[in-house]
Amino acid sequence: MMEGGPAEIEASPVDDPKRSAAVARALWDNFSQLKVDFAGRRVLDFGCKAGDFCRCALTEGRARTVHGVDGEPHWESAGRDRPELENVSLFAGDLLIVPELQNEHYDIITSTGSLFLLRPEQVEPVLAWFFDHLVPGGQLLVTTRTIFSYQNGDLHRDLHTPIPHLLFSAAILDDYLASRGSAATARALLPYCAATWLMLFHDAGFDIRHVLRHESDIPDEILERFMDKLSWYDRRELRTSAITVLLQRASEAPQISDLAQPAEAE
Amino acid sequence: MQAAATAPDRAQQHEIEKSRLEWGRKQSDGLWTNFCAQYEPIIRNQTVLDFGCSWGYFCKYLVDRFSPRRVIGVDISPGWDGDHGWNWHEHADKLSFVAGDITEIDNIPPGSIDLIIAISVFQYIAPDKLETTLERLYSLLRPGGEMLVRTRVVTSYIGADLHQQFALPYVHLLYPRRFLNKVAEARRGGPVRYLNSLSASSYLFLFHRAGFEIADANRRMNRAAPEILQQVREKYPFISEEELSCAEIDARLLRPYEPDELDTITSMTRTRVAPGSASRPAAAPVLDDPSE
Repeated sequence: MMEGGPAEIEASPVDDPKRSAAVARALWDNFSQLKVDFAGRRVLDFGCKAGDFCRCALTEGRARTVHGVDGEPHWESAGRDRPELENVSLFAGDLLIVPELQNEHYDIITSTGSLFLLRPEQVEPVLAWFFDHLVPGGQLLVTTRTIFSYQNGDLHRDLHTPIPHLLFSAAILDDYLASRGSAATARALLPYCAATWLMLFHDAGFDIRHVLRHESDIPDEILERFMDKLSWYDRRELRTSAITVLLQRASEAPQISDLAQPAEAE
Repeated sequence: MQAAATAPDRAQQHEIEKSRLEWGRKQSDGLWTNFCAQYEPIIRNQTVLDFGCSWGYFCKYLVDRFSPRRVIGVDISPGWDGDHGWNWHEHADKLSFVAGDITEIDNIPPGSIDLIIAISVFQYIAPDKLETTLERLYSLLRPGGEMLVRTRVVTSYIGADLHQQFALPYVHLLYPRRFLNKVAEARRGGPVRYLNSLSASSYLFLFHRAGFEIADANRRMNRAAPEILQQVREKYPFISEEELSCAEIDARLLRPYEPDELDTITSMTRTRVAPGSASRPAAAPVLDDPSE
C-alpha cells in the first residue's frame, strides 16, 4: 500500500483548455507514482473529457495507440478540435455500445475522476467491460473520489459549508440548492467509501496491486466539531477523499477445482 | 452406506426447515433478544412495519408478545400465505401483509409508521434500488419514528449465504464474484445469490443521505475461521481492520423532525441547532453559500 498524492481529485475543467491540460498533467503525475509502463502499449482512457490525458499517455508515456471515450464529445463542445496527434482517437457515447470499441483489447485502461459520476447500476457493467477488454495481465488504473471527498459532487462550488453531504440529508441539500437556483444535487456522487470501491474492483475480477489513499484536507477541527455525525464511520475511510488504484487482470484464472463444497470438506 | 449430503441438498434442507413455524419462533425469539431488545423499542399500541418479513414469523411474534396497534409485513416475495403451521388471517385485526416492491406500494400512507424493523434484507438490494428504498422507508415513518436495522455487509464471512455452497469461509473476499458465478453455474446451473458490495461505512452514509439520523450503530465483527480471516487481511492491507472485519451492522435510525420551511435553514446562525436534528449536537452545522 502507498499513501499520499493530491488531496482532492479535480474533475477536468473542459471549458478551460489550459487548466484542463494542467489537470491532466497532474493526473499523469499521480499515476506515474505507480510506475506503470505505457511505452508501446494500447491504451483506453475512460471518461477522457477533452482528451488531454490521452495526449499525456502518448507524449509522456509513449503509448503505441490511445483511445479515449466520453459520454459527451467535450473536445468539440469546448470549442477545440480533437487532438491532432497520430494514434489518438476519441469516441463519444456509452462505453458499452460504442461500436468502434467493442472488438478492441487493451494493455492498459485508465479512468480518472469519472467512475464516481456513473449511475449505480452502471458501475458493475463498466468494470466488467474493462475486465473483458483487457488482455490477460493487462492493467487498470483508476482514480476516483469517495463519499468522504469534501467536494462530493462538486458541491463546494455552491456551498461554503464544509462536507455538507455528511452533515445534511440529500433532500435538505437539494431543496436548499434548488431554492438558490443551483442545478447541483447531493445525489450526484456514488455513495461508496474506498473499501466499497475496492470490493467492487475485486468482484469484477481484478487483482488489487497498489492503493494510494488521498487524504482529505478537511481540517481535524472540522471533523471533531461534527463528530456526533461522523463518529460512526471508520476513521481511515473518513479521512480518505479519493483513491488511486492499480488493478490487474490476472494472467491465469483460478480453477473450479480450487474450491471445495461444504460436504466435501467434512 | 449413505452418501454425504451435497451442497444443494443442504440448501434445500435449510429452506424446508425455514418453512416451519417452530423454526420461525426460535428465530424470532433470537432476533428479539439479540438484536431488537438492545434498543428497547416501544411496540405496544404502535404501528410497526417489518420490511422484508419473508414468512411473517417475526410479525406474529410481535403481535403475540407486545400488543401493537398493528404490524404490517412487507416483502417482495410473499411467504406468509403458505402452509407454515399457522394462519395469519386469525390475527387479521392486528396483522396485515403487503406483497411487492416497497417503492411502488401505495397503500401505506406516508408518516403512518411508528417503527420499522429491517433485518437481513438491505444486503440483497442493489445500491441504486437501496437508495430509493431507504428514502421510501423514511417517508413512511412519522417524524420522530425509528428504524431498527440489521444488515450484513460485503465483508461478512458468509457473503450471500455462500457457506451453503463453499467450504471456504470469506470465499467471496478471496475469489471474485465472476469466478464464483462460474463455479456455481457449473455445479448448480445458476450464479451465486446477489449480495451488494457495500461495506459498513457506505451503508452508514446511505442511511444518513436518505435523511435518517444515526442514533446508534454497532459493528458485529467476523469471528469465524481466524486463520482464513488472516488471509483476507493480507489480501486487503489497504482496508482498515474495523471496516474489513465487519460482518453486520446493527443500527437505530431516527426520522428527525424537519424544518417547517426552507427559510429556517438560511436564517440560521452557527450557534443554532441544525435542521433535521432530533437531538441537539454541541456544534450545529449550517448551510451557506459562497455568495454570502
